[in-house]
Amino acid sequence: MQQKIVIGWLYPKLMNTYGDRGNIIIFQCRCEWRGIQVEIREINPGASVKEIESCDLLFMGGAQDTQQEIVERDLRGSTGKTLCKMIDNGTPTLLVCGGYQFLGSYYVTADGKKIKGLGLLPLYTTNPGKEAKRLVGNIVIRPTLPEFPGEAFVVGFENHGGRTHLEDVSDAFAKVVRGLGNNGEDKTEGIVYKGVIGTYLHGPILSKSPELADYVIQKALFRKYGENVGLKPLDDTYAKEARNALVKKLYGK
Amino acid sequence: MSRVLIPFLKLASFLVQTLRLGSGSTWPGHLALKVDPKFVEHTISHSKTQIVLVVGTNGKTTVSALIQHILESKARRVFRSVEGANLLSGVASTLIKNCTVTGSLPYDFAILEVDENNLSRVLSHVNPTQIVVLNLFRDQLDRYGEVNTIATKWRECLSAHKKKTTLVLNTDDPLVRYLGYKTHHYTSYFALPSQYYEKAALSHDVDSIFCPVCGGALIFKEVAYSHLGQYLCSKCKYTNAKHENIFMKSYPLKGVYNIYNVNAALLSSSMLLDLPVSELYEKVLSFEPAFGRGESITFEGREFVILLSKNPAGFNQSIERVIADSKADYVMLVLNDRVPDGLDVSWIWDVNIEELVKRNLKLTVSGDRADDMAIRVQYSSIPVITSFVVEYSLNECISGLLKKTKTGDVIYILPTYSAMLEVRKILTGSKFI
Repeated sequence: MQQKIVIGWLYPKLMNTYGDRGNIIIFQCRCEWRGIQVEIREINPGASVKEIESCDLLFMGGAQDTQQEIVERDLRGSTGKTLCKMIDNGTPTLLVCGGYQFLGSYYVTADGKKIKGLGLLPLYTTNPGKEAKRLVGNIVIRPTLPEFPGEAFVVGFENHGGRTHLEDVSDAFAKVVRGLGNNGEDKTEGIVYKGVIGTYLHGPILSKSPELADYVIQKALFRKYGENVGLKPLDDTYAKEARNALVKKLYGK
Repeated sequence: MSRVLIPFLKLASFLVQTLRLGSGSTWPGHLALKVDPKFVEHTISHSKTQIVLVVGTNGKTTVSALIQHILESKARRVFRSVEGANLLSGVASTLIKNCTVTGSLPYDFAILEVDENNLSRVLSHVNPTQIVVLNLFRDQLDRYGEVNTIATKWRECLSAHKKKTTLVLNTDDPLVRYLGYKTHHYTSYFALPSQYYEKAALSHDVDSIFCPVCGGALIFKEVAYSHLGQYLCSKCKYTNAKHENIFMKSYPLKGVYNIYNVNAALLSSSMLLDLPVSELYEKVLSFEPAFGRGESITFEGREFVILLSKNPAGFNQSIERVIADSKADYVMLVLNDRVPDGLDVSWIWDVNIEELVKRNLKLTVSGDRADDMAIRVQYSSIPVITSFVVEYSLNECISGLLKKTKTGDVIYILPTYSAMLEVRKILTGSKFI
C-alpha cells in the first residue's frame, strides 16, 4: 500500500529565517526516497481548520520579530486552537526558535511587554532587552528523547535573544554539551511535549541529524498507519561526517 | 603627532603587504585609531578630498570600482577601499595607504566601502559628499542580527547626521528607498530599467515583504530579484520613488544584480562630476569585473570565472549567471565558515541549488564546510544525484578539474569570501600544490 504523509508547514513565508525551510526539504526527500508520497501543505494566516486537521506532521521555523508578531496574532484565532488540539492529540511536530516560544505560557519582549502565549507548552521566555548579548553560536546537544536511535549528538547553530525557562527541566529535548541552549544557564535545550519537539537549533537541525528526521517521520507513519515499519536506511555519510567534524571541533571528541 | 605617526604607519602598512603577514590590511588602521581615535577626521580635514560612502549587502566592491573607473576616465584623482576593509579600521587603513608621508591626501575623491553594521560608526567620523546605498539582504545573521534592525539603525543614524549629504538610493529595494522617505538629505534614485524585468514571483530568500512605514504587506507587481522590484503597500500606498532615467542597451557586466550596480555607479558619478549620465555610458563599457566578482582568471589555459557568493541573494544571482551560460559545464562550490564568511552555514538552504542540479552541471564541492554543502546538494533532487564530487583540498579540487577539462574550457567558481581569497591565491600565485 502506498503510504502518504501530509506535512503542514506553518507560515512558510513568514517563519523562515536562515534555512529552516531546509527541514521541510529534508522531510520530503527522506520520505520520497523511501517511496512514501509527500504533500507539503502551506498553512498561511487565515487557513481553514480542515487544512490543518488533516496534516500528519507539523513544522514551523523561526523568524524576525515583525513576522513573529503577525503570526502570533493569527495564532490567537482558529489556527491556534486547531494547533493546540492536534498537539494535545499527539501529532508529531517540530518547532524551531520562535516557533515554540509562543506556544508557551508567556514571553516578555525586549521592550518589557509581557505577552500571553498559547499556554500549551510548559515554558516561558524572557528577552532581557536589545542591549543584552544574544545567545549565538555553534551548539552540540545530546537528546534525552526516549527511543532516540543512532548517534547521541545533535549539532546546529543557535541565534536567539529570548531566554526560555522550562517549568520542569526534565521536559528538555536535550542536554547542552557545548553552547548555550534555552537560557545559557541550566544546560537544557528545547522541549519535548507529547509529539512536539521544540528547539532553538538552526542548521537546519535535520541536516546533520538524519536520525532525528527519521524519528519524527516514523512517529507520523505509526500514528497514521498503526504499524512500526522500519525505514529503509539511506546514505547519510556526509551528515555523519559533518556532525563528527563539528563535534570534534567544539567538544574535542 | 601625525608627523611621526603617519610615516610609521605607512611603513608598517608597506611591510605587512610586502611580507604578506596574513590578512593585515586593517592592522595599521587599528593602531592609528588606538593612538588617535579621531585619526580619520584629522586626516580628512587636512585635505580637499570628497568622501563617497558605498553601503549595502552586495555590490560594494563592484560599485566602488565602477565609480573610480568612471571618475578616472574624466581625469579625476581617486582612491578606494583596500580589499575587504570596510569597518572604521578599514577606512583608517585605506587612508594610511593612500596618504603621503606628510599625511596629505592629494585626491579629488575617496570611495569608501562601509559594512552594513558600521554605517553609524563611520558616519560619526566623516562628512561624506554622497552615500550610495545599494541593497539590504540577509547576510551573516550571526554577526549582524536581523535585516529590519539594520534598516532601522541606518535610518536613525542618517537622521542624526545633521550635515546635509546626498543619498544615492536603490528605489527598488523597499528598505533602501525608505532611507529617502521624509529625510532632510538630498536624494536621487536608481532602478532596474523596465526592459530588464524577467521574474514572475518572489523567491523564498526574500526577507523584506513588509512596508517599512506602516508594517502592511507589500504587494510586488514585478520582481527583479530577491525582494527588489516594483512594490506597493496595501495599507499606506508606500511605493518606489521616481528614479533617474539610466539605461544601457547592453551592460558590461552580466546579471540583473550588475545592472543595478552599473546604474548606481553612473548616477553617483554623474552627480559627482556634474555631468549628464548620457556622457558616461561609453566610459563604463571598458570596465573589467572587480576582484572575485565575476573576475575571469586564466590558469593552465582554462578560464576560471569567480562569482563571490556569500549570502542567499548573491548566491542565487550567481546561479542565474551560470545557468544563463549555455556552455557552463563544471562548477565549483566552495563553502567556508571563517570570520569573514559568517560562522553559521544554515543560509545555504535558502539558495536554489536545485537550479544547478536540474541542469546536470558537473558540481565539485570544497571548503571547510564541504560536507554541509554536500548535504545541501544531495537534498536538492529527489531522483538521487550521483554526479557531484566532494574534494576537501582546494588544490586537489582545482588539479582534478584541470584533468577533466581542456584548454579554453570555462570553470565557474562560487565561493564564500575567505574561500575566494584562497582560490585566487592558487590561481594567481606562483606556487601550485
